[in-house]
Amino acid sequence: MSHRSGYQPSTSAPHESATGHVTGTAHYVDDLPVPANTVHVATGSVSVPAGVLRSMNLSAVRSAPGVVDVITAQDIPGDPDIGPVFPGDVLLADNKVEYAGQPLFAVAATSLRAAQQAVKLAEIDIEATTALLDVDAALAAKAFVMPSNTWQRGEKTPDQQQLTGSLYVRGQEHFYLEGQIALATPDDNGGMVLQSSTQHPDDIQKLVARVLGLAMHHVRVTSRRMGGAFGGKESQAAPLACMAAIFAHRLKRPAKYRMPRHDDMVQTGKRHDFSSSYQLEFNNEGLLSSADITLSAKCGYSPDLSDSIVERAMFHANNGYYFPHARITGNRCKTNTVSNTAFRGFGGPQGMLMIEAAMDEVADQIGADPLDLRVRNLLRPGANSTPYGQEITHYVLADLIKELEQRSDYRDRQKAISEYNATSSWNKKGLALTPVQFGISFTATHLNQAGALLQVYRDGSIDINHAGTEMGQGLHTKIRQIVANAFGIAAEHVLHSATQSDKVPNGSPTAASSGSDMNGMAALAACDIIKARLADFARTTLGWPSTPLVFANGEVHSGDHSLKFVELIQQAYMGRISLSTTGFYSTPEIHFDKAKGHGMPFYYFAYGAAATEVIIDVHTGEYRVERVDILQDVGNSLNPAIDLGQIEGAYVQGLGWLTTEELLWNEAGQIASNGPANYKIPTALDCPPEFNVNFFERENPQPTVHRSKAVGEPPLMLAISAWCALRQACKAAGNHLPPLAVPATPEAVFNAVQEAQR
Amino acid sequence: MARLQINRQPVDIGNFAPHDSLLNFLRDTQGLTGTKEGCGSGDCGACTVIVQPPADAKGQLPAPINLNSCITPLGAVLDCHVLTIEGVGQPGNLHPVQDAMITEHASQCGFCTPGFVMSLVANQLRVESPAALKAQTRGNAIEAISGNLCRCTGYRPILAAALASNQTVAANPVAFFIPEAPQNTVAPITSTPHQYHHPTSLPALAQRLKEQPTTAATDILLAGTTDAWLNVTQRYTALPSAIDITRVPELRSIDATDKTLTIGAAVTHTELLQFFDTTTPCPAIVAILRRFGSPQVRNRGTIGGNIANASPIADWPPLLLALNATLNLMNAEGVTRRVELSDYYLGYRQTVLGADEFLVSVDVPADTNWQALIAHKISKRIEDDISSTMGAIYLQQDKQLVTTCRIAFGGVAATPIRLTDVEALLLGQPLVAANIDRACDALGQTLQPISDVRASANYRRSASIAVLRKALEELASGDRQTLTAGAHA
Repeated sequence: MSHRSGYQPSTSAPHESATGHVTGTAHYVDDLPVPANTVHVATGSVSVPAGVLRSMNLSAVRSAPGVVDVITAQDIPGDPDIGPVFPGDVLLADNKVEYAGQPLFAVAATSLRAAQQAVKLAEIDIEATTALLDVDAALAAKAFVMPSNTWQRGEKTPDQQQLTGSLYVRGQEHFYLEGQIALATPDDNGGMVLQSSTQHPDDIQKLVARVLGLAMHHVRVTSRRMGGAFGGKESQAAPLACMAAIFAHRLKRPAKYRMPRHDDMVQTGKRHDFSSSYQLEFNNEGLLSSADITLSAKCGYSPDLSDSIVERAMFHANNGYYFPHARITGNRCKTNTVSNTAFRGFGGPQGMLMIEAAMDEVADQIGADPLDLRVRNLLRPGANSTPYGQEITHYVLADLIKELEQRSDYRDRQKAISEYNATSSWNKKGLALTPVQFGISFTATHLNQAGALLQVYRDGSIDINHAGTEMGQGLHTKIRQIVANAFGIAAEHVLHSATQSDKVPNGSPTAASSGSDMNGMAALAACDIIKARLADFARTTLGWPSTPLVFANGEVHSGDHSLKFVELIQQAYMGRISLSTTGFYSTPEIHFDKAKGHGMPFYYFAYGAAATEVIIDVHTGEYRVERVDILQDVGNSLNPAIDLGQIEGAYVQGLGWLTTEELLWNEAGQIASNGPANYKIPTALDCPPEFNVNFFERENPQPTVHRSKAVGEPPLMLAISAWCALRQACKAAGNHLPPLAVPATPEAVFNAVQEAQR
Repeated sequence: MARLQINRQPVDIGNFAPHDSLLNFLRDTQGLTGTKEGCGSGDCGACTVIVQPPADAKGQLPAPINLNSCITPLGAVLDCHVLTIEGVGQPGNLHPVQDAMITEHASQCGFCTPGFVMSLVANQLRVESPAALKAQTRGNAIEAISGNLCRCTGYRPILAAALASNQTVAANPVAFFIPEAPQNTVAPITSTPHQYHHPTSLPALAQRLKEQPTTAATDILLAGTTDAWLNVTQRYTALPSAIDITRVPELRSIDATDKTLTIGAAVTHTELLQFFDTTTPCPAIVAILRRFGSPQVRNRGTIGGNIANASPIADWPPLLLALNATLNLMNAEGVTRRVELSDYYLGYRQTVLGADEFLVSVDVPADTNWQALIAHKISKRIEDDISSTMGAIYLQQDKQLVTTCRIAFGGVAATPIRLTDVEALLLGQPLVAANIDRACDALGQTLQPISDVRASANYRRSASIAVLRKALEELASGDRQTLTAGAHA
């Protein structure tokens, strides 16, 4: 069967690697053939969360079978700090241990098994010191990885009603199916070549150069594809690449560092836990006049990306609602745990969940339907400024919610559920409809830049390269469609090669849902440059009129003249026209004053809403999601099948975060949920049996690539509707809206039912 | 010397160690990198392959199975035919499952995808007829992939691909039947020097054990390795030698006499699921087994392993305690003895099993009323999760009075436990509210569960009470109503 054709924007082309995926022929880093002398890396650590190293005897490690080399912090030739933005992430702990499982030394051996067996032989003496294991302990000790900050607008005035609440939101393990991995091979010029499963090859290049004490041009990084990332390979891929590079540099032979799942779950960062508190003032109709919110994140031992993650939580603490007065504080708590990191939504989900939980409480307090209360408080003409001063000019949510309300039959189903709950004693149902307003752009403004390299070969085939990476989200497929469309040719003439730091330099991470927005525009800019050269050539050399060239159906037209695309390219080559170029894009308009907490941090917002219905067993707390209806604003979809996949996948991933995925540490500070046997991501049974996903058909008013919108992160937060629905079902089992823990495990639902019946 | 077939080709294994895994052999030695390692513990299914075992002692060819190659010893597949993703279909010559996965946009990052393809192909190979394949539901598809984790898609398109490809294959079943019986080019087992042993009779097993005097039987005997192999993949333990009991016919059979139903220790959960679904219908056992591990785990894991490793969170022991089961043990001298299951567990991971003893079979009384068993499992996730608590209640009434009552729980103590004090409160009594309350109160006072990553002690106690209450109220009213039962339907 054929899966070709259909590569134009807005058509559902299959993933560019789909055939490779289903046949197992698509290579991931661990699948690449390596020379027989390749060494394999493992690290050794201690299980105390805080301590000072008294002594470390590695002689048994060095003499273990298969061991080739052993290094400690002193053996790092360059800078041992690999913090992505701020210092603080050490590749190997020197004499201070800051979390249980932090690597103290590393081994290179002839096999992974030999390396893993060897690291267990170390004799390490640690003097345990006081450990701060949670947010409360860090707040009490005023321990922060970065300074706290507060945004304030207006002065709080008392209103008719008040609400005070709090919510503890647990983090989430990425559980990308392909664990972290890097392969380093020394070149013959003192430099290093890396194959890395990373969202940010430029950062790998910078950090490998830094730990080796080399200039960046000595390091080349390739990332063809990742087996999932979700933010977990933005900064967390670096230790593997740096460690492998150090061994490869020392031994002058290839070094592979692949983390087995257990090491990955212990040593790499996760979504942050957030402890939130809020005080709301509102009138008897539930219209908010004031919100005073504190968001405190469990950052772990180092800054990593936590400064921006907490900031994004603050940006989304109002979701799509208007706060006339707002005071929002962010705390970046330092704890003796692994350093938490980016995860799809980047703090946004935790901020948004807090305000949605609060909205249900306000509705409960005034006796309103939660949806009516939400709609009443949306940003709207005359009340269109976010707490950080960005003014909304396109009012999407009210229309979107109204359409979903009708599509999901929300009102009639609420009625039916009330009737069901009145007669059912074993089981109760709940239904909730919640919105999402997610800001699109990196809030670190300088990252909003992208480059592309377009190469047209003289047989008419095209290679497009850019700094964006492929982690399954279909970025390369979309870029291929964009380029093929620009030249009016079939997509099989356009190939997307691996992301390489020596093809497009200084790339931003593929993150913040920005991949197709930014790289698509950079690719388009490159296409426009080549098209302009071709137009110039056609006019001056071929004598075509100066009317614009039209690229369509594999041909190029101008007035009465036309040539096949490949013929024009061949003639341009003979005419000595350069057929390669870079393209560049930087997002316009955006600006933000961090000190004042004021500006326009986002180029636009992506909107969505979901209605989720659940049923619970009031005796055991077990539950099922029965039906989900989603309406998501993706602008003009670049590829409806891929966008649908992003929405469905994000919803289920968000559902896991809020239901079965319980990230836990024990009292000794070790991660307790340290493997798939005790950390439970959704299975196929958790996919909603009725799952209706539709696009909100409206183009992006901003001039993005083909007026599309970002889709990677926003739909994750649609799953908040499931948590709210579970809470409504718990309420139906008792007499008031109870607190419900996050995640809402069966135990948490059971506890909430007990509380509701109190 | 060829010792197995991979993708229709005979393969010389060469020298191998007892702790070598099938996955590493496929990837590192054979270069078959389409099979992925996602977790190394049998939880994610990325390493799924299909294995056609050799014909059994009676010359019968067992059904092909999908399994997790990361926790399968290489030695376990000697003389088998192993099918990997490379043998299912290649670019330009795709299997219908692969084709449907593309059409339905069912891969995103693609890392888990080969494992899903293998599980879906295995499902098609095991279906008894094209008509049955054609009639498969979304629930069947969910069950087929319940041992495969995908972090990208949310599963909807994979389920669509499953159902679409079932139709294609049902229309042309012969073209897509892939595994073949091992050919006679495969050399006999006894002719190689490795230390992975496959005894083929009970006396041979005892003799082999006798030749390993310094090792405790539990350290060297392997069955489905779904638990034992974690020592190799997670703790990097070396195995100098291994005795694989899965080709001992006496351990592989289910025999019914007029006194007992005898289940061999190496009978797999999949075989028992079929047995209790069709031969001797028992809805309670079927419901539990369908959530027991995953198809890959059930295809390898054995009832004996689930009992003998003395895990407090195993799901068979509560069922078997409620069924009043007896164990048949044998030692290296060939001497047998019988032990009541309720006497078998001494403490956390401790049993009465002697150092040279092993489990031969489990006896359940032949007069068991299989419909009288009620079981309920509570776990954080419904599929493929370890129980927070699991209760089994076997109860019969006559003239409104309880005549038989056995109650057992797992996950709530250091061992699986039988609650005789609670049973005593119900025996001879009618199932009325006051008696149910009294039994539930007694259960709550008896259980002393622990708090851990799966659940708190308080919830384990409360949920166990809820399980008992629900069972008793159902029995009293005749009204069965549970949320997770029939999850796949």
